[in-house]
Amino acid sequence: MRHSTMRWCLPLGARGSGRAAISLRSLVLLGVWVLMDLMGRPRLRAANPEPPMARLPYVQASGPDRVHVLWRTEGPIRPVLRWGTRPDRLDRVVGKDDLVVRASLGAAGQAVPARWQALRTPENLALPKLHSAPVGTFQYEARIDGLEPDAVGYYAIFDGDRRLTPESADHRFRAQPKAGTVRPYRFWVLGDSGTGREAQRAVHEGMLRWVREDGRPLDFWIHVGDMAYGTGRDVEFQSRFFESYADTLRHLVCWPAMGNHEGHTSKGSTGIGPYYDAYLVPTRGESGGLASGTEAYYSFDHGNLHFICLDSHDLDRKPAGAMAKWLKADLEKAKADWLVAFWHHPPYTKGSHDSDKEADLIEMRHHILPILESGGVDLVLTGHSHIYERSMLMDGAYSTSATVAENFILDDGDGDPSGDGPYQKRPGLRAHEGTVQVVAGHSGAGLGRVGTSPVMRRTILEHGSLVVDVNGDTLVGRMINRDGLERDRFSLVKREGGGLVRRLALPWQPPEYKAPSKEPKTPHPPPLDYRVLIPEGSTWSQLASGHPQGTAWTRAGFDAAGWADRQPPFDLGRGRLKPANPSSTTGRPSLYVRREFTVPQADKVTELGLWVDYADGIVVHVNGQEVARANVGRSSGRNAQGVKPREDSGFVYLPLGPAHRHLVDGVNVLAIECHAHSDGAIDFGLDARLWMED
Amino acid sequence: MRLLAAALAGWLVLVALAHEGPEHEIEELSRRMAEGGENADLLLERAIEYRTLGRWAEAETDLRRAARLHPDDPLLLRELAQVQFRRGRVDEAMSTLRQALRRPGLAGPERAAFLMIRSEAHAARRSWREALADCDEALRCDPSLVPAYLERSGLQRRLGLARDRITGLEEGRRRTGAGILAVERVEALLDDGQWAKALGWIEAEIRSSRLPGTWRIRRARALKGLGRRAEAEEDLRASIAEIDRRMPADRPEVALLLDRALARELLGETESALADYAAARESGGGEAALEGLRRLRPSGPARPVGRRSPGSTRPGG
Ligand SMILES: [Fe+2]
Repeated sequence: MRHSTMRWCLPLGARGSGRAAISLRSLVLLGVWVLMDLMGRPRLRAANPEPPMARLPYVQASGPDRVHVLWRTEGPIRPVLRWGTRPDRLDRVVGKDDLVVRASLGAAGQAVPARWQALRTPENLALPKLHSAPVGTFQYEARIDGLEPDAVGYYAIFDGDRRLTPESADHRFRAQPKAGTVRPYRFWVLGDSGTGREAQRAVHEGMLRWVREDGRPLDFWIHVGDMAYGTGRDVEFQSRFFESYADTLRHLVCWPAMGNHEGHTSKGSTGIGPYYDAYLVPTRGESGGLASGTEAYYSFDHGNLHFICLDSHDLDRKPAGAMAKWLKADLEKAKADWLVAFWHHPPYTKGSHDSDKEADLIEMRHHILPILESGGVDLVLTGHSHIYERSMLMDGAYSTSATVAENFILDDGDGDPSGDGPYQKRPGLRAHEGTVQVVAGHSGAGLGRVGTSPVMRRTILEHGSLVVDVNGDTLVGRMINRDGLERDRFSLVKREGGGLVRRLALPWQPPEYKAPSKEPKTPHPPPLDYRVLIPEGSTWSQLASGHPQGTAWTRAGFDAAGWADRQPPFDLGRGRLKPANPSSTTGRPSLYVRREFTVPQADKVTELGLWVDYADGIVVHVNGQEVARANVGRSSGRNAQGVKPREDSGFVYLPLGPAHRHLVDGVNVLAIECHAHSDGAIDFGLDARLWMED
Repeated sequence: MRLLAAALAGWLVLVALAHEGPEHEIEELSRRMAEGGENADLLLERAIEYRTLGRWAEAETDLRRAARLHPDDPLLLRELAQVQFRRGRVDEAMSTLRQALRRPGLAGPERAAFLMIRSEAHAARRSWREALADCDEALRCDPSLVPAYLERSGLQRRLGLARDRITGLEEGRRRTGAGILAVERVEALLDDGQWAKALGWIEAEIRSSRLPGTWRIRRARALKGLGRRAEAEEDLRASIAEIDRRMPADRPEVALLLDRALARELLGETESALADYAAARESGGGEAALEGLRRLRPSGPARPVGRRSPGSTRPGG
């Protein structure tokens, strides 16, 4: 059973307790949802692919003569990629030599589900490995080459003769234009989006709507990192990136930069991890630029633009390091009209991160920016800080304390063609004629702001993304928010006579930021797409009275014969179960419930979470391991201490952080203890459903 | 009122899932560990946040504790070794690396990553041969490791292993396609006095470069070696002009400084070359800046302009 998040739920407190019958939050929630549907917002799917597909096809690593199509299946197929110049005439087939197969068949010591045991043949085990994908996953990487620049083609995936992708013109690709070709280009830039939550979807939809209404489609997109929260696991990539953007990925190349969250599980120094499994980028200069020899950093041309992607997370950023040496050599060769660089950690920010305090950010500013600006960079795109920040035209602010803007600003106007006018530069790539810095870490994750960077002309604490247009001598960037509205516009124009470099001693300064006195504490948004493992109305085992002995009750194999079968809400105060409590030891009521649930393949679980209404404090266990607690200070069971009254009310989503680590294939146990904060607590009780994001 | 506050704080508020920078992350992780006990994941996360803030000692403490909980986790050991090395605790880093490299079943690229940290540690102690052996071993484990080819090239230059250096770089270029290995190979040819061979490569690079300054310095070295001094001087002057156009006003760009220092050194403008090397050293120019200073410092022994001897660096020709 698969669900979307927004649903109609009665909060616990509504059931005859004398509170308002329906919580205000639920009303607000419902109102927003209905309103969004009435507005006719396009709904993007974020669902799991239908087996045998395990990851829907997506295009990668395009060059003027080639493009790659990647996809995954559960178990092997007889992979065939057909393509052609019309969707109804797929008369070409990618040959075996142009098809790379990778597989996940279980690392040493890892449990392999019975149904995949037979796949561990010597032939399969010799395949290149997918490093942490669910066991049984096969990844196919098909290279279509010999294309003409700009060639458009259509493709379909088959298992032998059986077609796996629908007949649709959406499965298409376009080869890169020939380097130097001047014509209008449009690309999308986003960062810090990979939460699998509503804001991520809204930003994607908002951009699509704006682009559709504007009437010119995208050519490609750039993700500046943090695309798979929280630790870039393979399943997080699947749920929070590939399923979220499937519709865009299947026909537009995403050029990635690795974020720190991906960096938990993928390493630039080894090129190993889910990030490196997911992406295929040019390492040998196949798409233009100097061959980097590594997927951690790379460059490519798109028409008259040259792009440089760096790894700001885990490689040496110093001038003597391999990455900086490559960057210098790449810049020496770059001959495009425009130069765009992107990576994760912003050199200037006062959003959820502070570029005056954090080493990664300081080092990128200190070591890398001088190389780029002396190479003529026009636009720098970063994320990490969950905010939209866009600078004035600036140059040369490298020192560690250099977020003061004096003498580093070349044009302090707003850059808006309909405002102060575009920023001016001379044609070509010229050193130190000014760069615009954009922090686009506002595409899904929770927003944050610590202050105002004085180099920024616009600072907007709103979810959104950036759409960039380049047409000959003019570049225009627009911040499009989650509602599909333009919230900022800036332009760079390169013409003879432009770009008179003058350093402003007293540039425009943004107003000082006053932090709100107390930030409201917000609930964790639930995932967009999930399965229900323990539905509403399920029968649980509840301890009739007192406290359980030890922790055996939280694990499988516990004999719950003496426990009562009950359905939630478990509400001691209102007579569903007459309490022998309050407990004689603690002087306040407690209740204990447990229930088994089944997970077919544990390594496919992205996150477990409770949709839960509780009062006052709870401690949650999965298979004997504590995975969450709320409003309980220390310890658990009869020794639970520091139980506080709950400040909010109604159902909330409670992610069971590390629960996926403790899951096993088959039967698992969820155990919840709930404690009142005092003997006289009137709202004491619990109602819970278990959800699984996969 | 409570309900109203909760609703306002709820779904309509755009600030959800707030992320508030490393200090808050550290606070949050500390709170979680105080309540639910320490585990390796949380310790690693907190260590990463400490590292971000440059709080190396606290990062090391957390990583040590995490590594005690999971002594076989290669990721933890690698992070620990790196932090120890960064803190100048080379003995401790070595011991961590020994522990990691003893672990059976370490994948090739993972093993190579450990060996490269150890190689760096050996180099920090000026144990060049040991450092080279670790580079060689790292490349056997992961022949696609571009930084290892570069490191090895530097060590071979230092040890006077010119032929090995050129062969190694050729192999690296063939295996990885990395452009900087081709650049380094030209440097190796120049260091070895193979002027004519280097010149062929350099001419092609100059033709295809937008910013040919660095390549023109390399050409000047070759031309000088071939006795074509006037042409060499022309290249050097043109390079310096290009560098001056590109040099940032506020904080000098290290690679440009080093290039200009070398061009000035080759022109015999010792004082200005010394000033550039000194500025490069100030800005993190590392070994290359130090070697330049050693070559030119009036008190030190002056080296003749010509083929570079083992242990010396640029320029040679
Ligand atoms: Fe980040």
